[in-house]
Amino acid sequence: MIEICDLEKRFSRRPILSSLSLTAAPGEVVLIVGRNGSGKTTLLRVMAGLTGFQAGSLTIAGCILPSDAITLRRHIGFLSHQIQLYGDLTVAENMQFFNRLHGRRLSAAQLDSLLDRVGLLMWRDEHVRHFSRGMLQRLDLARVHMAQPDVLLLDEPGTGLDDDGLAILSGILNEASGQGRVVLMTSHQDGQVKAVTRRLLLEKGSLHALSTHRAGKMSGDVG
Amino acid sequence: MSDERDVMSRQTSKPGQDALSSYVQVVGAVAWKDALTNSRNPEALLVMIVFSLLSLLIYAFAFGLEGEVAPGIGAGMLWMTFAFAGILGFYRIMASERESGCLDGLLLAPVDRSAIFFGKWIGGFLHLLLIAVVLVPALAAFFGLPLLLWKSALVVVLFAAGYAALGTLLAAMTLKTGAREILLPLLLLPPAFPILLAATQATRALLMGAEWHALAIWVRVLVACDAIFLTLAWMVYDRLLLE
Repeated sequence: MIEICDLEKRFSRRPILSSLSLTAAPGEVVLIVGRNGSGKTTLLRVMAGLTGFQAGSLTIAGCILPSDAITLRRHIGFLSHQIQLYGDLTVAENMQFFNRLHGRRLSAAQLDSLLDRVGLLMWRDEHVRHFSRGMLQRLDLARVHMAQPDVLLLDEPGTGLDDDGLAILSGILNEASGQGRVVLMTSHQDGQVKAVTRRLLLEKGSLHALSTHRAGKMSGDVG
Repeated sequence: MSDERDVMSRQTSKPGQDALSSYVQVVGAVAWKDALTNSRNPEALLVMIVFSLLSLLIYAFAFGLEGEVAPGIGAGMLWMTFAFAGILGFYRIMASERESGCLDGLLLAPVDRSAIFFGKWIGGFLHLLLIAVVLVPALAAFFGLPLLLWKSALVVVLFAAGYAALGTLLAAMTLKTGAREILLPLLLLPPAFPILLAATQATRALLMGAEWHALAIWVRVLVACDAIFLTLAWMVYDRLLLE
């Protein structure tokens, strides 16, 4: 589902990702940890086609970047660290808008079911600008999840979530994994989300396999 | 939730039709969203309208609108005011996406990103038309200029189409620069000169009571510039938004 080979990414002359390789099979939930500025967000942005790269090859859901970028966007869901919702639109309007961007229609029943799952059904017609960070994060998760993409790229998905929110996140990840979809996520705290099947450390521009024990030790100083 | 994957299935029409339909849907969605958010934040439009009316009054008191010079001064007043009021709106076209953090969400729409341009362009175009709806009748009423004609409306629509195309394109170009408030007018006004000149000359001819053939050359310039600006934006917008 995901094959990255010798990926190189530089900002100006500063290398961010170098000789980075990664494969992920359907059903995997891969957690990437690393220090602040190690390039976790950049890796997800490259995979989403939001930023270019200098060398290497990326094949995601059968699409080769950058030539198949438009097709790839049908197969991925990207949760940015920054909330991607419009404060002046209601919850329902935000969901409908992002659905329309992806050429889909969401019935009222589907929308209600989705919002019920993330605990925001009673806020359906409220403007998003009044929401707390945790509520925004839940809604943003719902936004990414509603399209049921083949590949989920989640940047710090646990940010601002309480225990119930983290349980919702784990449920979404389990469901995605069970349906044979791939999840690639970054997180400050390993152990925050139970559904992870593989842990990787992003260090000096490339990925290294990480044991659960070492990931736990990293959790104090990664970001 | 388990049946969402089946229910929210992707379109099953032919690839070409599918792509075109998705493209049009993104254009419509972006235009709809901008119209909705702007209607809930009418401050920017009100500022532009107040600025336009104040500018008209100041110009009118400064220059007077009598005698043979009235058509030239009236036309110049109209289009300079319109041009500057438009700039205020262009700031908001893309800056609002960046400030809300939603730009990535837009960029991940599975279509060529020129669809985002056309959605934004519709918003900019309608904004300019709303200003014109206030500005042109005000100029006609205050100074007794014969501007309420279909020919005036044609010139306004053609100018607004081209000016909104340039403004929308350059708003994206200056999005990641720190001094976009300064850069945008500096970059916008030089390439807008042909349409400003054409609109001014066409309006001057209208105010002098000239026949259609005297206007036609300037209308052709406006149509040609609109076509060039829109084609250019369609070609480069995708690259402009890539980091």
